[in-house]
Amino acid sequence: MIIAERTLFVGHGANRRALPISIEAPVETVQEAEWSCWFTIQWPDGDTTRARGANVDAVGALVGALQAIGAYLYASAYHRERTLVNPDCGEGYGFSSPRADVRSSSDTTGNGCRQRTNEGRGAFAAEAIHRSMETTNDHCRTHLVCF
Amino acid sequence: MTIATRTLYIRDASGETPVTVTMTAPFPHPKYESCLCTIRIVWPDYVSEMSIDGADAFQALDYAQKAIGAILYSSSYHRDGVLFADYRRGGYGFPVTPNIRDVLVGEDAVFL
Repeated sequence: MIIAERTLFVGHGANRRALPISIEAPVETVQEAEWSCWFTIQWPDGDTTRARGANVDAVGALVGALQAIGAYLYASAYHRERTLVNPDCGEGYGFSSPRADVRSSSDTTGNGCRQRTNEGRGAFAAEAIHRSMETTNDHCRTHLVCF
Repeated sequence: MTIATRTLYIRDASGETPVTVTMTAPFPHPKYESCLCTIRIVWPDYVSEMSIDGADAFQALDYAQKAIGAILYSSSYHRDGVLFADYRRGGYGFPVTPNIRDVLVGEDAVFL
């Protein structure tokens, strides 16, 4: 069941293309004794990212999924090219990413659209995704499974 | 509709007492064009419940989890060092707003 949706846009004016994002309520996977929170990002080029945050409980799955969305956005070429926009929030996309050092703009302040975008954030975000996936094999059961 | 629950524990001389945290799915604000997400924390001696307002459902979810984090980290149980979560090496698994990130401990400080 989808619990939240938001549409970002790539480009401006007549060339503006939608980038819809949705997240579902966490569900328990009995066989694997874990919870999953699925989310979907429909990229303007036709690709769709459908992935999940997974954890031992629903809260962890939800937190992981929300952070993963932020990481995907900040790791995207659209962000790197500065063409990705949230029409309701000048800069930033309104999603946290796994570490404060991988995000900036309003997503760092958490209070609206105040700061300028930092350079190189995409690389940090990509690293954050990698780091999050690594934790599957480490002590932390917060991890992302991407398809 | 409750979409997520986590049980924390207060560990003291009397044993372990559960602290249950729940979040509802975002729902439309009855008066304004925004969304609400209700959070509920059942402490041993009282219940803390509030609705968190966001411009859209994603923001309501984001603010709700950060509000929970702020409440947990500002609690006397955290200050006394008796509040803990299973499966975590420190922290409670809820993010907080950037202006109070310095209070995070354990895995929260590393991953959130």
